[in-house]
Amino acid sequence: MAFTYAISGGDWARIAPELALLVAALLVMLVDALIPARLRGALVIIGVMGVLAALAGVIMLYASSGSPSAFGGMVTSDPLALFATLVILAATGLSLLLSPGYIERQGTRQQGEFYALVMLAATGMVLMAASTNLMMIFLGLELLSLPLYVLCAFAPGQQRAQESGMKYFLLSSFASGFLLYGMALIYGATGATNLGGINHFVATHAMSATAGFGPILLGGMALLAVGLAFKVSAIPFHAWTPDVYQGALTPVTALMSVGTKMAAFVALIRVFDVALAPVRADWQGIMWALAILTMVGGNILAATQTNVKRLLAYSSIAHAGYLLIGIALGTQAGIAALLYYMAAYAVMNVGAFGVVLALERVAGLGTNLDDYRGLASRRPALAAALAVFLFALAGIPGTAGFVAKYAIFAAAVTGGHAELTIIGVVASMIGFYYYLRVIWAMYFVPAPDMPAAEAANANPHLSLAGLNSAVVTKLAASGTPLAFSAGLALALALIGTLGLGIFPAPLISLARQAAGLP
Amino acid sequence: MPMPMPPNAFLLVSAILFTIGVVGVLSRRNPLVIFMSIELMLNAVNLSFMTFSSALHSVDGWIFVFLVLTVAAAEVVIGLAIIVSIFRSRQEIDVDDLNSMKG
Amino acid sequence: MDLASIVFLVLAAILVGSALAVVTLRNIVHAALFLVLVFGAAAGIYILLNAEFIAIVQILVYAGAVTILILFAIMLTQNPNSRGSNPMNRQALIAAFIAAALCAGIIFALSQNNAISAAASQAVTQNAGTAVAIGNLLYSPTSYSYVLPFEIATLVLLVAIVGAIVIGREED
Repeated sequence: MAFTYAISGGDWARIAPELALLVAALLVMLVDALIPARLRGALVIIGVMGVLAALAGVIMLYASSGSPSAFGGMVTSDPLALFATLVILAATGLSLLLSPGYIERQGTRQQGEFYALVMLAATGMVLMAASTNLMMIFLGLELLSLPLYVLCAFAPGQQRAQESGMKYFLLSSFASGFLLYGMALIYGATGATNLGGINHFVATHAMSATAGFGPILLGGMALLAVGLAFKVSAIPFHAWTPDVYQGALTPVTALMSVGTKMAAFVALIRVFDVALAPVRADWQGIMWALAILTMVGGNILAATQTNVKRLLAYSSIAHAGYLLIGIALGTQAGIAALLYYMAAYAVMNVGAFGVVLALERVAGLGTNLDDYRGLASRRPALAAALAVFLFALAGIPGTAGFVAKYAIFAAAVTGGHAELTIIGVVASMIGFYYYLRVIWAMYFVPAPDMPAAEAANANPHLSLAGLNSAVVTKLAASGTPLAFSAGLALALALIGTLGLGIFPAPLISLARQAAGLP
Repeated sequence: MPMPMPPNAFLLVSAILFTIGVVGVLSRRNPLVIFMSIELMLNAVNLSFMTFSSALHSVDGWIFVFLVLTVAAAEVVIGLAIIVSIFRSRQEIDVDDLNSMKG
Repeated sequence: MDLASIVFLVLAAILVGSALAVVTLRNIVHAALFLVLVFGAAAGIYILLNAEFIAIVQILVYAGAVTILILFAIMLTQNPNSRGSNPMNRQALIAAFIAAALCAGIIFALSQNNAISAAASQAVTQNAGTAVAIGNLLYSPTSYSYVLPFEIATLVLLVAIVGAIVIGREED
């Protein structure tokens, strides 16, 4: 290790996207303290400006030359990090646009803090994706997790949100413990925390499970895999996902389902597919099994759900399974397919949650499958948008989801794991069932005749959530108008979903570049 | 001062501590006890890092421990705030009773 | 057996014993107090490893701040009607099984090698435990340093401050 390295301005330029998001977070907090309460809704503009500034930073870094590594190998701005940053920025930007109107409806007075925490979580996600050191991976993970714990518990006085926050906090800290122990053992086995050093050590020393320092490395890999599998909600480490996704505010769920996954998958790629590539035989089996369990289990569990938010949570588990194929393959084609899949997943999933959010009145109410009956006649535009997003999630040709699934299944076949393709296709068939069930309810089942107010009174969840009469009145209003920014977000997600499905080539080449392919 | 015992003795203590923490998380119901068990796990990790750092004559472990300490303090603040706020609205905390969502 | 080894064995026994008490005692206040002992014994072991600075930070942060916060949380949340009811949940058997597998795995891994591999050991030898060395490593602008992780740790603390305010102010 060289101790002659000096930090220069160029190092800070290499983390320009992170800095842009961070500055936006700080500005939100500062401006929040200075403006009157009724103007706080406008703070979202600062957040969106931050995302756009970070986007400019990514474009600048794509154009720049020289070594992408910065801060003595702590972080990098290689194409992989930049691609992941793009996906995270897309999810963050869309989630921010979805928030105004919705979070006011939840009755919170702390909009400034909400936007600041969203920006800080996004900073953590981008940082984790750029990390090339175990230490930075851990810090990025914590910087994204801590704001999310708070955001999950955000809705004031709502039991589900608090439950969601506490479950997420306890289980996530538990997983962080495994992750850290794994990092400690890998550090002990290889003497390095930077991924380059780990790779160098593993490549130059013959390692096996029974000789030399292999066992500690093996244990470290297993524990690290458990920790990261939790973060991407792979089965059997998924138990927190449905409750947390259902209980949290919908913009938070949208951000979490895409941003955390993207960051954690980049960490998986960097640690397993790159740094520990020489000992692939030792970890490939774990990833293979995780991928199969998650694909099959996620889809089967999703098929039994009657709450759309919960259904989307299980569907996000299932998608983590398809993504894990890319990790298990360990080939560059697999990584490229994973990255493209993640980009497609970002637009279609945030879009689907966006429609759920537009129909949701107060956190958790109006998200049951029954509430979607006859939606096509009541809100035809929203129903059509949701149908497109669900078709994309199911993988219907013409949408981003189809290209993504095709890419990852093709990579599995060429990578010599045709069995993953077969299982994946079968699992997707189960997926069709539950996505189509929602579409069926929207288009072919008549709406219930009950007036909305009566329906509200008859709703058993009402007493459960402990809502006051003002909320019931709100609920009785027949549907909420779509805020302009939410409409914009849905339109962007729709363009993305269809655009990536019809013209996938530019993004595929970007993903291939990120994976190190020509 | 050289290490008084072979590194494996330290690592063994760390492994036992970690396991006790895992058992605590999985078998107890009070979120505060679960939280304390997580702290046990983090301390076990720190002990491993310190041992490896000493044995390898490498400094990364020390810094790692320093950062884990900082992050753990931040986690305590957030976690306990959430637990206390749940108690304020429900008057009881027991993870097995937190089941308003099912499926 | 020299003095340091005996001290280590005593500290290790306190560490493991107190940790067991934390997860088994029914009275949560006692559990929290045993947690202090765990933190203290760990700090003692750090001193044996020549890491005085980390040992002191461990005492300040864990035995001081963290334990106080936990005790406050206990005082604020324990319902007097449910005193002493601190039972095991239904997963105790599964927990025991997972724990046994985990412990066996780790001990197996450790038993396969007698010393830290010389190959992994680096040539870096310096007084890393001292405050001066750690200070140089954390903030030095002119040599290799951990300036970025340090800055990110400050951000994590910022999030903790904002988060605690958000959650604490929620009910007003």
